[in-house]
Amino acid sequence: MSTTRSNTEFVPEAQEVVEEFSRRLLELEAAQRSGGEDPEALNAAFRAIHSLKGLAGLFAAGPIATLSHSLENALDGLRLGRVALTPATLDVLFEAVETFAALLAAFEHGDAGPEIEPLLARVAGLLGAPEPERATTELPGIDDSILGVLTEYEEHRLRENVRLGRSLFRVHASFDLLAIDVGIEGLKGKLKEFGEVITYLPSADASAEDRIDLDILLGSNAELALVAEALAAEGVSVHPLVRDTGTAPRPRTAATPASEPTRTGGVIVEAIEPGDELDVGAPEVSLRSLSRTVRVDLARLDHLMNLIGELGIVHATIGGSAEGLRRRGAAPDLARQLSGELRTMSRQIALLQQAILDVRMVPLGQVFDKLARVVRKLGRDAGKEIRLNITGEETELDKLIVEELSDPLMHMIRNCIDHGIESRSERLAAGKAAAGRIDLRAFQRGSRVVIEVEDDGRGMDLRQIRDSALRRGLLSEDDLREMTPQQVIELVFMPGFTTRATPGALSGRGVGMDVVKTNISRLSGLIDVNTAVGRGTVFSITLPVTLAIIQALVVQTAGQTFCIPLNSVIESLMVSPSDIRTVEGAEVITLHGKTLPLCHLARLFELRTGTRATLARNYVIVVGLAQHRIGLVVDDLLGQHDVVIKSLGAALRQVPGIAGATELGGGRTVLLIDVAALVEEAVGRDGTLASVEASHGP
Amino acid sequence: MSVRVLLVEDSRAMRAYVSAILEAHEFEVEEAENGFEALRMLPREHFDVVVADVNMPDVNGIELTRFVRRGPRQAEIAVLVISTDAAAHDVERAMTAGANGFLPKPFTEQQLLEAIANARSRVQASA
Amino acid sequence: MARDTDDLWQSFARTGEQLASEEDYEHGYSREVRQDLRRCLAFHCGDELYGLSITELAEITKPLSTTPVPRTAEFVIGVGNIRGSVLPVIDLARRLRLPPRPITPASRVLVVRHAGELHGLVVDAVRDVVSIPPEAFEPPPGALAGARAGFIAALARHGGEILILLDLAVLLAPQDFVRADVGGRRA
Repeated sequence: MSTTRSNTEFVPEAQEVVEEFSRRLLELEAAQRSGGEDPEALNAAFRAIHSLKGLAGLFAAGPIATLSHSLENALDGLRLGRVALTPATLDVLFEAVETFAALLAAFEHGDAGPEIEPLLARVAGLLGAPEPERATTELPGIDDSILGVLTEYEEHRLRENVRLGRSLFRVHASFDLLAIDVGIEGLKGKLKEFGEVITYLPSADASAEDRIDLDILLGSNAELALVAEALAAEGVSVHPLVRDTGTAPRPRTAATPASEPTRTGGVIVEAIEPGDELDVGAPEVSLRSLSRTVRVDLARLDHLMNLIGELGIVHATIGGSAEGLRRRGAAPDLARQLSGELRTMSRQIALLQQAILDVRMVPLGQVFDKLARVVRKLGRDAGKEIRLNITGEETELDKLIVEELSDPLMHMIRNCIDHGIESRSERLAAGKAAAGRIDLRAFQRGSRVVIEVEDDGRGMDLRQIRDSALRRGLLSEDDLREMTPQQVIELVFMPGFTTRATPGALSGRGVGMDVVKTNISRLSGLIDVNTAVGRGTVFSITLPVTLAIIQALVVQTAGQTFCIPLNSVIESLMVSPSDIRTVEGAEVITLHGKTLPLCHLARLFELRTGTRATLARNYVIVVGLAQHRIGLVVDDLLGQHDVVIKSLGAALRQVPGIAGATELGGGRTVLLIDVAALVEEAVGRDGTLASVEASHGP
Repeated sequence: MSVRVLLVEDSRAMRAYVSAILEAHEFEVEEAENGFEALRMLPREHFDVVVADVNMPDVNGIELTRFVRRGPRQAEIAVLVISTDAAAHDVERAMTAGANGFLPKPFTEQQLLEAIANARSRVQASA
Repeated sequence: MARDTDDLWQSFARTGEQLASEEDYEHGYSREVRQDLRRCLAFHCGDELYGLSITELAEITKPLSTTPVPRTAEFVIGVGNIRGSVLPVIDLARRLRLPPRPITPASRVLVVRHAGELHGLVVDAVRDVVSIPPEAFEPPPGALAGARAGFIAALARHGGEILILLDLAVLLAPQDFVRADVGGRRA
């Protein structure tokens, strides 16, 4: 440890602590004048001095350490109720504030500070004051497993609460790990309205590994039911603090109350007589909220998100300045400290962002339930018996995405029932169960959600698809001959395609898989299909979890910066001009045995490239939309960023190829590329769908 | 692989001091400024050692120790609590809750390193 | 000619019709406040004096940095960012098919709210806020200045000058923003 570093950090930190101490003393004085107590302020004052003592010890600030050590003892006595807090006591403490200020100034300038002996004597005198007469309060019915983890001070506060005739409650809450700081802050505020929070007891035995359970000990004058009602929120329940708390199986918030509950405003409240509270085994009050929700306009959440985005940009800007500072080598201690604090800030911003995204999230179950009803009805109409298996309905997605998914999923289910699942007799003849099966699955894969619709029906018949495409004049015989089986299957996504000569009763309503594809693309999603004749078909939709904030690849071309949504980027690679071949005037490269058409972003957008037209190397960003892939050629990759998408407004919304804008550090507005539009353009320009994915496999 | 330390301490300067020492000795240090932050990090990241101040607001070092001892990999994480020796009662409870060592403030670089080494050897001996 | 924009902005944000008092005298009106005066921001673009109702105005700023947007019409300078809101910024002179104007220290961006969205108009200079009585408005004469006629909502006589009041609905018609030769997305 270099001592220079210590000195630069010690004084400002110590000054802050002394200021905090002083503020707390003022609060104490105010409480005392109004004839009350403020244990929280007293404890905070103790903690401030405790920190100061630690600091002073570390940095060898002798007199400060000595004085804070002596004060710490006095304050400990005060907060533990061993020493009475009188106006005279406060005088001594305020005097210490002045002395600390003088000592710190002296320390900074290397002077000898003021004499502290007289003050030390007065502080010592506080400890000699007669102990207030207070009988030790018994703590009946509180389990050792709780008492065993309380600090002496917390135990004292527990006793004080009992002595003051308050009820002791155990508030059980469960938090998402990511948002625990945020969640706790909100809960703390509410709890303080009802009394004193004595401590927080965390436990790892939560129902899920990404959650934490907390038991919060609360001393309150309010009745349990009142506290319970005020705290009614997902996963928060209030219990009397009883002996078996530590050993009894942890109550589940969803547990059914033992006796008949009365429902008021969607919250289940079980009446508990005040006298019951310390009864061993008192029934749990379950407060699982059923309809305690606030409806919020999504626009408001978007606004919040924008504000957080702003915060992120400010953070990035400060980060840039800190980096500049570090490079210059000036004040390395400060630069180091700053970057540490920026990391903390970044964590908090991420939490905030996550918390808001969480608010927007709804379970897919909302849509799946609707689909279950559709399956029953359509199955009956088609005279087919169908078993629908749903899994992953708890998977969450952004509210907007879930809403937009409803139609595409409906079409897919219709298709399964109409085209996929055979009639009963066909199934029996094929040795299958009489009832058809549709599996609707959702699961999270990384930052994406995958939804699969699988049937155990007849699968897709390539011949039938080819015939249908020919009949409808979508493609020529020559086109079809060139196509791989997978490409043929993907023809079902073409507009106007259907395998039925006459529209089926169910899916023949003028919409088909092309609509599904369009809707999924709009959500930056990809759709894939896999089929086996006689065994069934699986459609998989891959979606980003959220739309409001996306990860973007930042690229540069012709001197301008653009963002490409990472969820449509399949891979990026560096190519040299020799890798690029020309097929019928179009540039392509071979990637994983397939031909990938290239599009130069600068050319698409007609950006002035100047003399940098030929670079030794280019980057190719392979992007995909539904089943298509193209390679966007750019000059440089600048990295990845989480970006908040902002609308360009009505005037610019229709500019093809631009999906929105976002801000990067330095207040720069950067355009976000609309991959779907560019891919569609590229596919269109090349004439047919097939040429884009023409296989040149080995 | 370097030893990963979670440092839970509400004083900023104290965190800077401890981090600087540990990083100079090739430890990988993550800092949490309060118990809640530590609770968030513990289940999600791998730590070999937890260094925690006993006397913190909200979630104290004893509770944190108990939390570690009830979690997965409970026997593998060394817990070192730091506190002033005035808080003897609290230190005693932290040790009962499963802390592997106690370091009174103030301490020197050497004392900190020794205390961590001792706490780790106790964990390894019992594992 | 152009006063400090901040003062100007504050002056009309703060008050009312008092701002009209000078003009009132000039026109021989009594100081009694008329309720039917329309307050307009008068500004220069090229050789003409233009006006926009201040109810359409959200803010006046100095020229801000913009990001060019490909595939847009010539008059679209790009997108700018005002406190987190991204807005299109257009060159008013070009939009009115006037010769391009240089950016000078007097240049300002009028941030207008149209159809619920912000747009920035770059103008040569801001002059003042004026209050105009209804009788001073005239419909745009059909024979006037061919190409620009469509953008004009009305003319207003004011202290011996003519104020050309712009029609934002035409000026900011979304279909004009995309460059004509970019056909939009393929169907």
